[in-house]
Amino acid sequence: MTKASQISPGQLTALLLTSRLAVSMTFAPTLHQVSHGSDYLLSAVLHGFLILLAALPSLWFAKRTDSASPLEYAYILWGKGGAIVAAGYGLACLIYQVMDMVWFSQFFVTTLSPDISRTVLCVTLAAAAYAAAFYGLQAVGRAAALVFFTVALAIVFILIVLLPDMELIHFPPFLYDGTRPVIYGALEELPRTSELVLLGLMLPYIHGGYKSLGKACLGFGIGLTACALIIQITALGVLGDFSGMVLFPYYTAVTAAKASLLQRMDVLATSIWLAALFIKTAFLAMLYLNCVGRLAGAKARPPAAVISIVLVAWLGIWLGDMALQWERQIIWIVSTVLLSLFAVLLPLALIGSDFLRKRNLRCSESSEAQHESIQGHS
Amino acid sequence: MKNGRSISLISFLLFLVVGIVMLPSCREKSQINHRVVVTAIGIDAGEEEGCRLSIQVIEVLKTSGSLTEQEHNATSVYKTEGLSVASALKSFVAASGRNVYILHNKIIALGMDQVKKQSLQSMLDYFIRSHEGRPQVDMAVCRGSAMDLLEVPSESTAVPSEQIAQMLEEGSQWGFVTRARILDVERALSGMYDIGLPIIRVEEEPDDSTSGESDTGNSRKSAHLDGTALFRNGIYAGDLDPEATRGLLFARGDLEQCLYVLELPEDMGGGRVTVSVKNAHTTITVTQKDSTAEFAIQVTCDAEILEEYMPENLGNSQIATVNALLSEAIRQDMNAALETSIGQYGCDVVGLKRLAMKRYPELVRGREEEWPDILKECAYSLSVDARVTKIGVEFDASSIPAL
Repeated sequence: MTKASQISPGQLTALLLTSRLAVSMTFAPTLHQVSHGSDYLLSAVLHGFLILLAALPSLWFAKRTDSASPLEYAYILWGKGGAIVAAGYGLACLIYQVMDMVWFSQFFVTTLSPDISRTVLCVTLAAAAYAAAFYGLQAVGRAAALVFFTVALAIVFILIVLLPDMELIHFPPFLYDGTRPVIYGALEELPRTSELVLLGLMLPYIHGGYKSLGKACLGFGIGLTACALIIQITALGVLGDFSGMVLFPYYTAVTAAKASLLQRMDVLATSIWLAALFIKTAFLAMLYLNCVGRLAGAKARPPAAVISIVLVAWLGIWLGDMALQWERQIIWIVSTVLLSLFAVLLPLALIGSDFLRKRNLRCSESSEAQHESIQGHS
Repeated sequence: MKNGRSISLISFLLFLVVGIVMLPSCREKSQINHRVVVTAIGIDAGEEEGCRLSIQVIEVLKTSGSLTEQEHNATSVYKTEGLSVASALKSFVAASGRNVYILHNKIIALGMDQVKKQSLQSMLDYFIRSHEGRPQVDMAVCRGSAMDLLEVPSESTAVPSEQIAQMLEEGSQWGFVTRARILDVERALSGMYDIGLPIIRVEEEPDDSTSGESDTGNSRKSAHLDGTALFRNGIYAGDLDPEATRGLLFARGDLEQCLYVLELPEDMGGGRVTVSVKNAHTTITVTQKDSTAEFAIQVTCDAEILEEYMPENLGNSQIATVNALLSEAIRQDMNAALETSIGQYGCDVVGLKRLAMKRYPELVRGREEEWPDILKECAYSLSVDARVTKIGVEFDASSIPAL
């Protein structure tokens, strides 16, 4: 990997944060009533720690293999079995794109306008993201830095504008129902952090190897916690307990804002969310196309992109209607399986496999050495 | 760098397409005269089980230029009826062939008869759910019918609902009403506290501007602020009079400014002093008292003497008496607000349960539903510290001619 095609730890942090904020701005853990109100503020902090914890297997793997990609390493260790890992990663990227598309179509249709053509919206977003993916990670990373700066600025601005509408009485007491909602809230959020699954795939593209990845993970954990706190304080301060009764509480809170000439702050919230979602989809598309390239060669990437655009848009629209009833089953359980497989089990399996291989090598080397020494003596 | 520019171009195209898709004119073929732009909605009780809607709309084809340039009223009021709010709105489409557009709605007025029959949840559900519903829409309850309020003409604006919104805003700034928006109703319906909506009374007065025709029975309607309607869990419970409404604003810490006309005792020579109260600050302290709580509500405020309606000027030594009179008047208003809202109707419009929950969670936990009754057993201590200052002219008593 040449230095020119790599991104800096700062760009990686921005990319991870932008990608995750696309979820944070629309998903509310209160949807499933696992954590509500002030408890979610504590859940957000706990979630930050859990992110660092969940990143440890990938970091350990990166350190042991000197920043090798798990995909490449699987090919080295398991031969053609590596193709299964490539297919798994590709499928994971596709699933994440579909899940984001489900929220995207739901948000536009239920909250903005039911008359909007979902097909045009979903196909446009997917096509734009795949087109951007062909320009490579550096271009996406640079755009992500810009988008993250805008998003961060916007959520702080929205918080300040909404301060007159916030009241302390809207914040329920901490731990009113004990510690369980806090833990459940953090566990509800963790699997939705798909970036943890993709950390391994990013390794060859980071300038500075595993040390940079460690720095980026730390920045990601801290930055995400800060942004999640701001978003939750905004929603809770304006809506109070009502934030647990609406599908998109942050957006609902933003519609109450009025700032001088800017009477419609919801347009700002929608724009920054769309920008973040575009970056996330492009990022996932790029990784997906890399997996396809590794599986079937570089020539397979363009047709795979076209098929994926259609598939992601169609599934996003089709599953969008079921999103409310089956959100937990469709998104949370699938995300939990993917997180366990690719962020925890795969790095550990590769490390274990590598350990066994090296031990076998050492054993065979020592037996050969013994054999040679016996021959020498004789 | 070239790649960066390409990403920017793709992002721009994405936003362009999404923006175009979202433009109403690009996804709908309806002309402007095929829809009515709603500026106020009144909900009254229907003849049967449903509701009767009055819709104040801008007559788009009768306006030219901006709304601020209109010489006359640019709106009309239509009536429609249905089994629910949504069905009544749709029956308007069936009757007129025009679709309603509620994004620019400013007021939702509820008729007192309908308020007594239906809960806020059922009356406002459509507006809370609808993607066109905005949280900043003002709410009001009308003594009599909501339709009467929507028909009140405006002398100052081309859209009468703007004047009603202005009246509610000014009224809340001067301590006449508690201003409530859809957002406040949403908050209240989540169970944090109960809500009080401003009451507007419509009166018919003889039209002085057509004095020559007054004997023909010409009259004009005018709107007046008239206290607060209290709702317990979204169900109408009772009213607060204007004085208790002012007391409620003090207790909640929402009062910006208000006027008090104080009657001076005979030993001070009688007469009246009008003071303008401002910079009010409320502190509520909660203390646990067995299985209930004690709420200490302390108000501090500044006041200026606006007028001494009396034979002689107030001396500096008499200011202390005015302080005491004002403090007592505010205390009585707050007491009336608490006695009526909590003692009589069981409405927690101040949010005392929430305050107790924050300070002593164990007091509320598991007994959330019982708290409206527990609040009746709680102790309340009210204290007011008013600081009256005297500004302006100082007449010499000898220069005032004897009456």
